[in-house]
Amino acid sequence: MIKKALIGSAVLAAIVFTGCASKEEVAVKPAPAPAPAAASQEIKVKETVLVEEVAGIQSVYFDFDKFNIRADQEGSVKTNVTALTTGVGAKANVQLQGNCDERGTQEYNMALGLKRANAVKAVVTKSGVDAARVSVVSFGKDNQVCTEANEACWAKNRRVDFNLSK
Amino acid sequence: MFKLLFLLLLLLSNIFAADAYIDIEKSAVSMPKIAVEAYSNETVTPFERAQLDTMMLNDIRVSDHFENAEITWAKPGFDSAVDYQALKTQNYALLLRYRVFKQDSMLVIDVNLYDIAKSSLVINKKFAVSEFDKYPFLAHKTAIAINNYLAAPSIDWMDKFVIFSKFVGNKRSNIILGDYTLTYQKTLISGSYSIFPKWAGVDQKEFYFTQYDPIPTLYKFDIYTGKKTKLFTSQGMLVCSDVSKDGTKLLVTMPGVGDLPDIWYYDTVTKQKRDLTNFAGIDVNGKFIDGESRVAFVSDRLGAPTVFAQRIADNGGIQQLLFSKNNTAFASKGSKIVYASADGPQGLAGTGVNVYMIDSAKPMPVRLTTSGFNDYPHLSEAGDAILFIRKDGGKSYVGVVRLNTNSTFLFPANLGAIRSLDW
Repeated sequence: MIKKALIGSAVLAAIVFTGCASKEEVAVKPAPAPAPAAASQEIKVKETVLVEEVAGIQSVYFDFDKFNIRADQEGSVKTNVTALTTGVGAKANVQLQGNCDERGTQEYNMALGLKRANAVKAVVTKSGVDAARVSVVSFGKDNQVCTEANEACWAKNRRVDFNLSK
Repeated sequence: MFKLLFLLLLLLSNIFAADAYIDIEKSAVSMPKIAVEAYSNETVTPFERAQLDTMMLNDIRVSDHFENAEITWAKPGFDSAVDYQALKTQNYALLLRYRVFKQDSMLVIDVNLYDIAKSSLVINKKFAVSEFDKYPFLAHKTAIAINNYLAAPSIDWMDKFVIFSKFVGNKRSNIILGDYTLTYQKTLISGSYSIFPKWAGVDQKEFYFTQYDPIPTLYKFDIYTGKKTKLFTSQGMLVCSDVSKDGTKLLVTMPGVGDLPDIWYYDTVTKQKRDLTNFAGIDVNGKFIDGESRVAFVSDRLGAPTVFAQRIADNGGIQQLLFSKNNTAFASKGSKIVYASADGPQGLAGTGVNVYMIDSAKPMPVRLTTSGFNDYPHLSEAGDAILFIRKDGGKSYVGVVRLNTNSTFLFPANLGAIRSLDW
């Protein structure tokens, strides 16, 4: 009886969890089948191709839980605008990647990173870079350049990176 | 025998701890005793037996009906007659006998439950899983069966899956399936930046998640077939934060007018989206509350992340639900809301984050944890159990709060960097 029930349930749906009973049939919730090959062969994150010839591109840094561009970061934005409006850089597309430190939820940090990227985009496009060349994306706290739990490290992660592609 | 006992004691000493549960007093009613007899044959190794026995005792403890459940090492035999008189003399209310073995590539458990006062066998069930790693579910199903015999408030949440995303490197995150203790873990999606899994329905057959392709894209994934269905993309960010009970409506955070992150209401049938919030700052993490007539969400409109609520029908009636700062993680079920909050003077940079609960009708917070960094709180379907993750002193735990019995349990676990979680 036991064997019969086991074989029957295995054949029925190729489910992972199976319930059977010698005296009482137990309806057991089916559970996931082994992840199919497709599930573990996801598309890799596509990194854009950096335009290495564009020199002087700098990240823009932010205060904790803020997305306004600090006065001490305006120079970096100006430098980047110059790089994006002259020479090879004038032909590049730029993705502004917003990042946060490790504190807070990922949902909140995703939005905060996006606000930071958009704050930079507003200045960059206002300064002469065609908006059609500029896109934004947020990685929240999942693109850290420093992993220690202290303010010096967190400050390096609260930033917008300029990711250039042809 | 001694090797097995040693392994079990070792596991027990490391795998279980009880957290003080403050602000709600635990009743001092004496609890009945349950005797547990465990059997196995040569198809199961001593270590495997020890793991299953530990999980069984843990589940019995978390069910919170019994006093000090322990494995009885005297072994009259699984099929032997029960000495009811002896058990009565020792004040046992129930005897649980189980035997575990492998058969036809399955791990099987036979469960017999005896009511000592009635001198009778009251439960005879058999459960099976397809591989040993899923052994926690055998213990969970057994605990549920005992609970149902006692006609106690449901603990069916023990058998629910947890799904979570785990950071594995810059711009890389896996999606993993687990049991409620996260002892069982199976990676479903890897090799990509895949985040924010959210169950598509109470049946837990499918979940939504975001994958960067490289544009943030919302997918639905069938955990039985591996089928992945694309819904839509959004520049900048995209998070499915809640699903209606019938599975047809989603609350989604994504940029709206002016690329501002807002809460959107998405109808999976008509494919129509509607912007529920339109604020120049940050609105995220929308959750249905009050019969899905309102949405609660996190906003920084007062300068720090705080939970607000508003009507869905007309986007009106906005109201601040919580009156503390830095409460960014929260979940809802019915009128209950659980949230994590760092209320110290340094906010999120302070020394602790705790889990609180309120009822949207009576927003008087009750603190549910006492120490460490407690995050990702989630309510069970009935709203009477809360799952959360604790990090404390370099260690990680899965915590379970039983509101019905005023108890908290902690399972030490190797969790890594969890980024989001759904139960």
